[in-house]
Amino acid sequence: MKEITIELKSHFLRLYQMAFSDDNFDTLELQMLYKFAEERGVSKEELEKILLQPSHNTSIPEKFEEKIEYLYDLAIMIWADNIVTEDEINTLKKYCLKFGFLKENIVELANFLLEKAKEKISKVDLIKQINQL
Amino acid sequence: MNSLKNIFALKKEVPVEHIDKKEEDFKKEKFTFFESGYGSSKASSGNPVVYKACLNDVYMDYKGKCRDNINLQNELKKPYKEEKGKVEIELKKRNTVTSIIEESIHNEEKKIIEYRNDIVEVKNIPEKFGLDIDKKPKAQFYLGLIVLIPITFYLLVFYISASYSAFFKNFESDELSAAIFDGKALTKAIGDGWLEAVFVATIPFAFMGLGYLVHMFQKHKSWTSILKIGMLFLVTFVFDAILAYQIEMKIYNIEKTPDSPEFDLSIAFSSVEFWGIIFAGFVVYIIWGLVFDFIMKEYDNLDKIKSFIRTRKEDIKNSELNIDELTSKLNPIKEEISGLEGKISDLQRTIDGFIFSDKQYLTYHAEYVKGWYSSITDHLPLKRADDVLAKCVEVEKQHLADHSIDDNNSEGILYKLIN
Repeated sequence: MKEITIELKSHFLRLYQMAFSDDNFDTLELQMLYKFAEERGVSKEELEKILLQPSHNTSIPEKFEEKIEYLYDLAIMIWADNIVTEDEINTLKKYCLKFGFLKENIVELANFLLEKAKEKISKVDLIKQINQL
Repeated sequence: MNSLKNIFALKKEVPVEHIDKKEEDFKKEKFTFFESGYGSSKASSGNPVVYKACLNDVYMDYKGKCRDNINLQNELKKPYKEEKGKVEIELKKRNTVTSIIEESIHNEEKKIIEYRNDIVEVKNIPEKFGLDIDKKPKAQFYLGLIVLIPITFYLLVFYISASYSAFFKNFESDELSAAIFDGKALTKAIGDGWLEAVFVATIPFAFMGLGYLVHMFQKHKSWTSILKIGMLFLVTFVFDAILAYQIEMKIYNIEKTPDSPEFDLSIAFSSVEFWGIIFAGFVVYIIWGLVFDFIMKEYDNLDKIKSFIRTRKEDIKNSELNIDELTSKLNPIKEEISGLEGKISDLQRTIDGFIFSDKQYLTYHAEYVKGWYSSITDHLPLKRADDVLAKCVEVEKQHLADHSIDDNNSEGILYKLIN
């Protein structure tokens, strides 16, 4: 199993926090996300703290590169245990939608990110590849 | 390539249309109120009683208009809707925690049931829990013990007697018939002296110690253990043989004739008594060792089940503690949830009701009052006008107080939907 870096973990916590800032995620999905994080080494305490503290206005990254970085981190997180579940893909799709990508492209975008995460391409290379398209 | 690039397209932000009420419309409305006040005042010569009725009429009329003005209501309700959204997110978060905690409690409860079943099952199907043991260790242990105790007594008696015969007995004065087994061996040894008594009384324990060592070495199945066990058996056999040899030699020396050859190993080996002593001692000693080993194993098995049950009981206790801890976490969250639900329904009632904008009303009210007062000063003689104005000011003050709009800090009056 791939080790989850502190940077990746904090990114995930931000994503997790973001999930609570709108109506897009229902209770069951949040619960799923919780388990998903816990299984990957994000501590229960950290997650519970986020759940029980009042929501702050979590902003969605504005820059295109930042959006891709966030989503790519999530894709890496999904591959951490070498198993990709339907729930995890749905979560990634939700974030893609939340980050302002077009609904009709969501499936393709999620697949693209997961594919690149599987190939273990670095974030810098990924951004380069996208910009060269 | 182009289609791949398209997947990164972002939604275009739709500019929010801001509907501003035209300044002109607002001015026109204000002027209408002024005119209305002026006209009514002129018609009633500024009568304070009529003024009071007119103010009420204006208030009720504005209130109705305010309620029917969807755009205005939407604007006034916006902060309440935003607040409701925030509270709903908090509620959703707490519901998530609750369901997570409840699931954890459910899992712990399931574990407790499983542990309890394990405690019952382990006695019947120990192999299911990785315990490689007999199914009835308790019965086998007690049966083994029933056999071991008499054999232990036998060994005590035999070795006390045999060692006394071999080391201290004087065959010239004693009967030959009691050469191998002497029922009074211990009494005689005590009679000979306490050292002799201690010697014969403790020698059986040396044999039992050897049997215990055999059991201990058997636990570790290695070549060195087998070698050690072999050595122990050999030592015991040799010791037994020495005892038998000595006894046999003493008997032989008493019975020998001048022609008899000197007692040696070949004579000993051909003697029935020699082998009798060895079998009565060594073979029984081996049986004792085997039975001892067997009951120790059964005891271990009993212990394995007991320790398994003990572990499961501890697991149950831990799970119960976890449930307590989770439940104590759950209660304050549930309280918070009911508080948030109350807040949401309160906000919803505000949203379903309507908001009376007193600030806006006061603007129009001021215009109406201005019109009323202007008409008084325009059409009544000065002295009378002053008198009427003073009364009208009082009426106006009372009107504002009656409708609780005399407070400048008020942002609006909420008319909530009553269920």
